Amino acid sequence: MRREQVEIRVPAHLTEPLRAGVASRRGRESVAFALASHAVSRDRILVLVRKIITLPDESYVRAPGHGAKWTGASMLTLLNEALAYDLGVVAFHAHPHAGPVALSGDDRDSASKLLPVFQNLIPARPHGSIVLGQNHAAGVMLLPDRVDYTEAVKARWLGKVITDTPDEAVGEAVNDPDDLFHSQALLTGTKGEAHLRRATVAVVGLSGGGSHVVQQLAHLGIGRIIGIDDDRVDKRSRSRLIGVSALDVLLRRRKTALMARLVRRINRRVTFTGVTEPIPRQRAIEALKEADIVVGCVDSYHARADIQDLASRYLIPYVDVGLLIQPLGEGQGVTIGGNVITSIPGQFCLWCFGFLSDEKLAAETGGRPRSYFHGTDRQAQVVSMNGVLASQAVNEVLQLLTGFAPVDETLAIKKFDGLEGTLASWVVNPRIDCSKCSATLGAGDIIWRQA
Amino acid sequence: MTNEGLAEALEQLKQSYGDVTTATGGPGQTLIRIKEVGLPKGCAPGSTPVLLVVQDGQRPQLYVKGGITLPNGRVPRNYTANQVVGEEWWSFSYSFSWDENTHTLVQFVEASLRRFAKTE
Repeated sequence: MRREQVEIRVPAHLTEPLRAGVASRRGRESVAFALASHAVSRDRILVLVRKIITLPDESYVRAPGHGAKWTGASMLTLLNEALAYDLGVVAFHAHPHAGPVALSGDDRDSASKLLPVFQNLIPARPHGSIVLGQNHAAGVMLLPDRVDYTEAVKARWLGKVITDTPDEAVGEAVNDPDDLFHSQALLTGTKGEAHLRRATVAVVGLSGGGSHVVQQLAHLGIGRIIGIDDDRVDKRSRSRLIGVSALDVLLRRRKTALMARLVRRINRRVTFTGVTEPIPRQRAIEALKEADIVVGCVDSYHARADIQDLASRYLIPYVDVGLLIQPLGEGQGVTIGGNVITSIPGQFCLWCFGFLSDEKLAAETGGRPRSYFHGTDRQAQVVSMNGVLASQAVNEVLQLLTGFAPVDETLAIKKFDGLEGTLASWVVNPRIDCSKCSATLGAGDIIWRQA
Repeated sequence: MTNEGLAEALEQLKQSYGDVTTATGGPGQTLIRIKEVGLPKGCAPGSTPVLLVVQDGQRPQLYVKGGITLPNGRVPRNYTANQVVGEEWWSFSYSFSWDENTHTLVQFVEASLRRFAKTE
């Protein structure tokens, strides 16, 4: 048995169907099948759930001594679908009690018969058998090109708060020897602090917004920050880039180098990884796959479209920050607006409610930097306004990791009015037939077949 | 492109370039990856992997890998990185007419890559 970390990610819209699918019916266990893609990142294998399929009651056969038994014929439809779309098959059932759960001997016997069959049919994707408890999950996965099973399995349930089962932070002693986070923990709690310490957050764009975000993530004590930016500082950075000095400008230092220094000065226990290539370069894409959350502080729709596509593809919550300072015309002042949009895979993406559209992308000049001021070449940026939006973005990260605020079902984004000085929630009505979501949500790494 | 048309096009691509793989992209979208296609003399490197994105009713899109220089040592104009299905691929501008009813995908690849022979 291998001890390789496998993380099964369940997008928000499939968490309830999966939980309901494994609820016991008519005095027997029920099975829910997930069709899943996967992706390989540096530190784990991601199994990305794309669809949940349950069997009708008539598929089950009476089998005293077994939790659940079903006919082979009842699986034909789901296997055909898995074959057609190159997806793995993960069978879920539940032992609905508190505390750790484990596959029974019967479960293991069943898995050892089923999983090789699945692997034979769809060799390029992982297949598995997972048992869910109230707050725990366990099971086995058969990974591509392997004959032995992997047992180190964790399920990640995406929603307004990221929930892992098992939650490795439960009972974990928080590493805070200098008592740095005593006051913060009064809000986040011991478990929340452990989540912060274990998390990896990627920040794309390390200028006016991103440098604020990195600074605050370091203060929060996030375990690892990945900063992605290929740019160097220039004289204009001094008005808005947190932590920059005149010498940095003189030496034209990389923004990643400045952020590494900033983080080191705040907390040496926080790891900072700088990536000096932009999205969509391959190194940056690979770095993003390691993140639990991505914060985008970019100024073009093209860059946002790339980040959204990757976040959807690998089921990563994406917090987008944007500020627009727009002149109304000669002598008529300006409007100052901004957004903080938290896109949780399976709830809505930036395309679902029109924030991104083909028309907006076409209006840009091939992804080149876009001025916040329409009709001029100069970007309008003000450090204090960047800071408001960046602080809210970090609050969103804090909520995703610790759940410090009560959660409701309303889908909303935060809108900033720089003239009024307000940050308000606006309800989002995402379209249910978003073609981007259906194409990319949980799509994972592409599987190539010989033509 | 019909399924039959696509199968025929894939066979032609295999005969011309050897190693050809396919994947499903979005709805109605087929991805075709050619392991290695030769570039015009003087380009560096002398060959590149190619990605074709074939979508129902649309002109195919062609991508190559980054780092290609023209015979004069320069980088092609409008040569930009893109993220396609989670991978970095580079696009460039080219101009020629193409009709899926009369032209083949092999002709499309050859015509597109001919752009690298121009020193601009």
